[in-house]
Amino acid sequence: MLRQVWSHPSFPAGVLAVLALVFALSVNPGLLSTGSMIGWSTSQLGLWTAVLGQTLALMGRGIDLSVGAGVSLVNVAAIALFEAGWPLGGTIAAMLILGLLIGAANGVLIGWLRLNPLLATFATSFVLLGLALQIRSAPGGMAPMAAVMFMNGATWGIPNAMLVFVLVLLLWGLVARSAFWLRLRATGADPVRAWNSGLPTAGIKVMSYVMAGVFTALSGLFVTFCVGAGDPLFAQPYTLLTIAGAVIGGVSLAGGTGSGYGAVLGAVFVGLTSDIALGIGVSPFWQQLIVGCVLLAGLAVVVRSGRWLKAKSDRAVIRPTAEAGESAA
Amino acid sequence: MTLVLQGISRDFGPVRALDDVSLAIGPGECRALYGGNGSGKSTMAKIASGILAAGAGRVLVDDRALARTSPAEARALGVGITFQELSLIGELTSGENLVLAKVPRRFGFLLDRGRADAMAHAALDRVGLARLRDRRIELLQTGEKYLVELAKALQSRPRYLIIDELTAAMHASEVEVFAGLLAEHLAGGGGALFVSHRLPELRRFCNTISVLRNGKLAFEGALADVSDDDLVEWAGGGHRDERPESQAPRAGEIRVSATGLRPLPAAPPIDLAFRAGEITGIGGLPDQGQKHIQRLLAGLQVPDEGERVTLSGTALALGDSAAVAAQGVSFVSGDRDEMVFARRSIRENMQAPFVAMKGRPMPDDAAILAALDRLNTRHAGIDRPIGGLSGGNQQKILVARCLLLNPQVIVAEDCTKGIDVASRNDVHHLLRELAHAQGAAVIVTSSDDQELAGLCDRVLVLDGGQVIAELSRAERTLDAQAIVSAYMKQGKAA
Repeated sequence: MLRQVWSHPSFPAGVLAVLALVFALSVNPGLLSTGSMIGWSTSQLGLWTAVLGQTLALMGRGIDLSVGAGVSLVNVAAIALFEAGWPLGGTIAAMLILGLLIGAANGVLIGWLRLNPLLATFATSFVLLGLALQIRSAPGGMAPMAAVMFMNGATWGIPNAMLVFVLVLLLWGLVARSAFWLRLRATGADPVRAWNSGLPTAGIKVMSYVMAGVFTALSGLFVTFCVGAGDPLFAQPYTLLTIAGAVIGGVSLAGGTGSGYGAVLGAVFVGLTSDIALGIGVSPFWQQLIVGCVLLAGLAVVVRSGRWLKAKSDRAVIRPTAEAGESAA
Repeated sequence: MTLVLQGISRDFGPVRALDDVSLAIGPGECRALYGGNGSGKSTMAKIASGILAAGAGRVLVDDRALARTSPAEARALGVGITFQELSLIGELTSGENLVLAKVPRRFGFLLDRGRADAMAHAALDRVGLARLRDRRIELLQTGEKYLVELAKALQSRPRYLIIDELTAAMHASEVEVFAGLLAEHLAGGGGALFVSHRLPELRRFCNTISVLRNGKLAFEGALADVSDDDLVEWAGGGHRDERPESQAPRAGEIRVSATGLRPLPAAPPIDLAFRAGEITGIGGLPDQGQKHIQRLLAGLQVPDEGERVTLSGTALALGDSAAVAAQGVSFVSGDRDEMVFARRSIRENMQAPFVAMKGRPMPDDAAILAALDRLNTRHAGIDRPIGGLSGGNQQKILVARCLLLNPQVIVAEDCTKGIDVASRNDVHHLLRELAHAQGAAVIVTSSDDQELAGLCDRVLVLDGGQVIAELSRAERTLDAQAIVSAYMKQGKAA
């Protein structure tokens, strides 16, 4: 049982996230106050949600470079609808549909037209960014006050943003327990053999991007309600942060292995590094450099230790049966 | 009620792999599809199961046409296939692999774990591997993987089963399991197409046979009516019975001297020596340390403590495959996945080892063509990707490049795995020439004891990482029976 914990692909990311959290608390003990927790979780909620979409794309041996632009587009489009007088529910529904459309566009390009995922989503990212800049070229606008107040509030001392993320994780739980997830893992791990086994691999890839679009839409909506305004460039860094987070969380760029929970832990770690850099008060000019170095170190630790732990676990699985076989002979 | 393949043709680039081939399989019939490497056997199997599109002709399953190139549709029509190169996903468990095509669901979208496990248990129980259903495929033994592949093909309850070289990598006990399941399938009114080039197995399992030769149907009929010699001739192999050449090898100096080897981690260390001009075989039951020795000599395995190997007195740079290759050790494996650059040209594949040998000139096209000619390799120009050739022809090219390298030592790991008799003879001939004429030390393993006995000058039989017998052609102690009884005796004593 214990082996299943330490050999899990997300285990190193969990350790890193806990270490980073402990370190963050030691430099800034005030972080545990409800106020700080609200600040932290509202600034990270969008990233934590977006990384789940990236995980879906990576799992099918794809990648999504349009995450940042997609989240930004949803953000400014939602604000535009609010300004046009749309109600909250209608706007949320419209944004979920927008997310599905973004995902479907990526999915069709990659699954059916068989374009390279890296280049296809790189191109769509500019289309989405262009649309976002058309809607709003500079930060501004206003989300409904009640929703913004709720997102930035707390219930029994727990930030509402964290409670909302629990719901997101429950939604992910359905994805991870679905029949589709097993077929997506197979397709990502070995597309040719998956097709030979009778799986509709093209359709599965399309579906993975469509589902990723839902998480992009949710991320965009969360950004809207956490920040309260629209900004076409706010979520741009999400693209690479979600990839870094997912990989640190044990999701393989070659597809087929990893989990959404690991990816979230990786994203937590990635998000904490910049908070810590801020917390220890280094000059902003050094911040990027330090964050980059910590990310590199995290990546190296996770990849190396992950391989080592997997090999150790595999040996442990094989050895007992080999010995049992010998004594039986 | 038959599976009919009608007038099937298929081209790969300029090579015509199949030319107007027809065959039919009825209920209770097991038809053998026999032929040499590159004769179109596997292509035919893949067209029948919806993996490849036919250039011309059609596939009818119980009078319903296979309309699209889709394994899922072939499966739905009632055709199951086992792949020579497996269709199992290594990262998934055997249980997950078995339910992939038809995942049991709850509420329409959730994976029903209970039913999935029950399905996997039921399917794997038929091949006696239910206990391994939670183990990832990549952790299974080769024979176990092929049994899981069989369970997977049977799982959709196909009326027609296409079996492509399934038994080649199986142990005898595993072949028995297969034989039982095949008999059950046929007794239940199913049909089967058994693709193989091993005559004893064809005779055992099949009642009818279709022989392919260069993509054309050379013979079709009842298997009982024809002799093995006829079949070999129709398949184009000609009558090329191999006779061990009696020419006494030159008693060369000790070329490779290995000390402190630990082929199995728990066993005490051993010393081995290999002579120039001699073909030494390493035999025994599977996984007794053969792989460790060969991989160590080829620089592909990091040495354990105390392991030392010298090549003509100079220490080999163990663990550094490029340096070892540059010192004159060539490695050939029967596992083409790890040997060929499938998408690169034949020329580049021939030249690949020279990259590691700084200062050695690259062989030019004339040299490459000359080496290929000596192996009767069928190819459509050395600019074509090697992946377009049949497995046997790819294998011959890997061995042919040793001719150009002129190495001190050749390490050949089951290098005739899955290739037909004629190609196998070509490879043997070449290895003999490299050893006896060019004076290389050749170190081979094989999953076939008959092959070791026919090819080698000397065979070391390993058991538990120890040499338990040394058989020599010069001393007339070497034959297949001697190899088998050496390791079988050991097995009984334990």
